[in-house]
This record gives sequence, C-alpha cells and structure tokens, in this order.
Amino acid sequence: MIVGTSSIDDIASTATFLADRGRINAVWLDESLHVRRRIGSLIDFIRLDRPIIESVPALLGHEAEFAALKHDPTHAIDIPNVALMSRSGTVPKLNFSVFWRPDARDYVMLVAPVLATQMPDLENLVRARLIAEEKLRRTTAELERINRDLEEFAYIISHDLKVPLRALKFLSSDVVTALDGEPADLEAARTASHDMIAQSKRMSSMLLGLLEYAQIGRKAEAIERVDTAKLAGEIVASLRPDPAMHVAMTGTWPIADTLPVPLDLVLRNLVSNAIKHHDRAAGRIELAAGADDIYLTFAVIDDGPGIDPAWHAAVFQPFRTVSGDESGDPDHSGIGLALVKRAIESVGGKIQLASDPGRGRGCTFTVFWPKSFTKT
Amino acid sequence: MSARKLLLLGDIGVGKTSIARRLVFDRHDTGYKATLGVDIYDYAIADAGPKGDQPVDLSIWDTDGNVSEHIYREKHYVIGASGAIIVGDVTRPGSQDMMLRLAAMCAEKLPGRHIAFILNKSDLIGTLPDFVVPEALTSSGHPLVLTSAVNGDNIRQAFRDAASSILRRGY
Repeated sequence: MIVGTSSIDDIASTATFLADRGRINAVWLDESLHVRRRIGSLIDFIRLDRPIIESVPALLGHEAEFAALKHDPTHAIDIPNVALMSRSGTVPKLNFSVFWRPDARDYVMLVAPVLATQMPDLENLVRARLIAEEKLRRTTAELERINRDLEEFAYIISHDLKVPLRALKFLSSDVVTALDGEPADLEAARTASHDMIAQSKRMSSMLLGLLEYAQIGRKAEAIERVDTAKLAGEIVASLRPDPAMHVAMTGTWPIADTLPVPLDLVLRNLVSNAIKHHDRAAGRIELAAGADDIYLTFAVIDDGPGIDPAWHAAVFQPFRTVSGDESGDPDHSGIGLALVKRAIESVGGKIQLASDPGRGRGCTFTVFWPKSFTKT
Repeated sequence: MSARKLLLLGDIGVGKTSIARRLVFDRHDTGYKATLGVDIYDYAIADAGPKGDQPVDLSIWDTDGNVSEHIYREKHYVIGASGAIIVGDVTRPGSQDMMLRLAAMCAEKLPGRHIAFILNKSDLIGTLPDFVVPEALTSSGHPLVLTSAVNGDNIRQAFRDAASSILRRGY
C-alpha cells in the first residue's frame, strides 16, 4: 500500500493514484470542517471552501464526533452505503470515512463507491494502514515517555534522595561525637536525633510521593458525570483556608463526563499550593472555569508572592521547590506540581503557568483538561 | 439555514422510498427495489412554522427497512436527528405493530423530538372492507396521517407538519 507516511503530499499522491482508478476519492477538511482540497471525480458534488455538511448531509449531527476524533485518531466516523438525492441531482451509493490527522491538524475523508469497496476492500486497507500508523506513533510516544520516566527516576534516586541520606549520615556522626565527648553533650545529641527523625520523615514522604508519581496514568480511571463546581467547592472546604484568605469561584463551571480522580488531584494540589505558599495572612485566590472547543479550562489565580519566570519549568519537576530548600519541612515533599503536571498530561491535557509582571505579585496556573474521553 | 435531519423508518416494503421520491421528485416509480443502506433526500420547505413563513431544509433519511427495527444499533442513523416519521402499510397489520415498536424506540433514543405516523397506501383502503385505523396508533399521542405515494395524497402536508413541529421544538 502506498499510504505510508504522514506527509499530506504522499497521502495526496496515493489518493490521486486510487482516484484515477475509480477506487477511493479523498477530501481534506480543516478544523472548522470546511472543504480545502479534494481528489477524485466521484466527489465533484462536494463544494470547495464550504462546510462539508452542506455537500454531505449524512454528516449532519456528527459535530461532537468530529471533535472527539481529535482525542482518538485511531477511530473514524464511518457512514456506509449512503446515496444523496435532491432535485438538482443524485449521487450514487458511497461509503464515507473520516479521520483526524494530528500531525497535519486536518481531517481526511475517504469516499469510495460501494461496489468498489465490496470487491477489493481497498478503503478498509487504507484505513487499516492509517490506523496502524497512528497506533505506531502512539506506541513510540509511550516508549519515549517511559524512557524519560526511567531517566527522571534514576536522577531523582541518585540525586534528590541522596540529600536526606547524606543529612542522616552527618547527623548520626553528630550524635556519636556528642555522646563520645567528656562530658557527653546530651542536648546536642538530642537535637541531632530530632533532626534525624525529621530527615527520615522527609525521606519517607519523598518515597511515597515518588510512588504516587510513578502510578499516575498507569491505572484505568472510571469516567463519571462530575459537577466541577461542586468538586471545586468541596476541595476548598476540605482545605479550610483561613477566613482572611478569600477564595472566589468565577466563570462557568461545567457538568462533564470526565475522570474525577485525577481532576480532584490537580485542583486540590493547585488550590492547596495557592493557600500554603501565600506570604500574607490575607489574600485572594480565584478559581475560574471555562471551555474552548477541545478543553475544559480551570485556572487558579492567586495574589501571593509569585514565581520567578526562571523557575516556571523547574517547579513541575519532582522535588524542585522555588525556595531551593530541599531539606526543610518534612511534610513538604516538593512533588505536588509534578503530580499535577503528570496527571494532566496522562489524560491528554496541558498546564500553563503565568506570572503577572504588571502586578508584580501572584501567579496563574491554567489547566487545559480534555472535554471528552474515550471509554476503555 | 441549517438542515434538519428527519428519519423515515418502517418495515420493509411499506413505501418509505416511494414517499420520499413522491415528495422530492413528485413522481411514483412502479418497480420496487429495496433500499440498501440509506438514501438521503434533500427537501426544502419554504412555508413551515406556525405562521407558514419559515423556510427549512429537511435532510430525509430513507433507511433500509431491514435495519429500521435495529436502527438504534447504527448510531450514525440516529445521531443528530431532529425527528422521525414512522411509516406503516394499511394492508399489513404486522407493519403497524412495528410502527409502535419503532415509536417506543424513538421516544427513548430521540427524547423531545418530533415523532409522527404515516399509514401509507391509502389508495388501497377501498379494497379492504374491514379496515379501521388501529386504536393503538390513534391513541399513541403521535400525529397520524393516511398517505398515498401513488397519488401523493397528504405527503407534502405530513412533511410540512414535521418541519413545523421540528422548528417549534427547537431541535
């Protein structure tokens, strides 16, 4: 089969080859479902630069499915065995099959006469090839992700976990030195022992965090109908912010069929961070929700100390803290934002961090959470 | 003006294609050929709505009678539909039973949408001495008209009523 690359020119070349033999015609649609290119004489009835729905009413009502294809390009909208009849003319039975091509950010619609596809089943072969290529791309991306994880974990274990271990070694030496003195310095030994307990707690917290980090995206989560306003309200209530810390919810909070467990993790960590790292007794934290064509958006906006743009990438890495204090508060493992980023990316979303140079304070975390999920 | 998708459902051989062709091409073909898959007819109505002044484009899905009863399994048939016209044959009581089953299925799959009954082949009623419209159909709550694709009786009116109902319901 000739369709073997993701290049639009190569696919166009294949489509021309097949169209010339009366087999499969092809139509390219942009993201707004307007017809941008077509190959083959079977589809002369499809008008260029017009919405595809005007030429192919069989696609009426499939708008949501088109959007969903972007999240699962291995699927297709298949409408087989359709004839189009009108006073201005008729179009004989055709099979329609629409795919999303994430690399080119367009849709390709394969159109084949029913009889041609019933004999050599070329359309199915083309489709199988496209799907196989997409699966290969996904598998490659997954392998690359796993490799990155391995490198990251190796770095964390060899570097980050060494910090509390080294501290334990020095503190235990301090204990021995204090007890070997003449007279023994019991107070110094006690202080060093307390520090050892704190370091042990920190190490335990880091290991638990690392375990949680590794497990994100590995479990099949259930899709449920979620009232996001209720979820966010419950998260805020459970965090019990000081009354002087004003938490406001703005925008339109949707009720969505989504994955509640990772969404809870994301919002909980962001709101918790905004409260925990605020440097003033009184402040304002805004939780805003909205949506675009593909994503639900959730923003957590605070008027705290802000994050230096130099740190914007690093804060999403495990055990990196803005203060650089990696051996302080044992309850603060520094993995919260890493968990957030990993949870978001595991569902196909993304997160942005912005500072407000105009205000000189505060920062905004914006989460782009996919609108639709495929049940697996 | 956006098109509205209207399903034409019913048992095999009740005259769905004949009704669609009479409506769109104003002709009746005497030969019978079963529909395979779906034929989509484009039909514009200029005078729909309660005041008869609203234009609407109907995209009429003439379905394969064999799959009508299982149409809910073929999601691309049902998706985005604004309503359904369910066709039966005055000469075949079995097709009328199927109308009721299809109406129940549509009420579940297309809640709030227009659902109407057409009893076709009314030109043959004269040959049926005991014919009465089944009470189960008249008491179903869905509008019902008797039509004939042979002479065109009531067909345009049935689709104009459907278009007006679809506009009123806002689907």
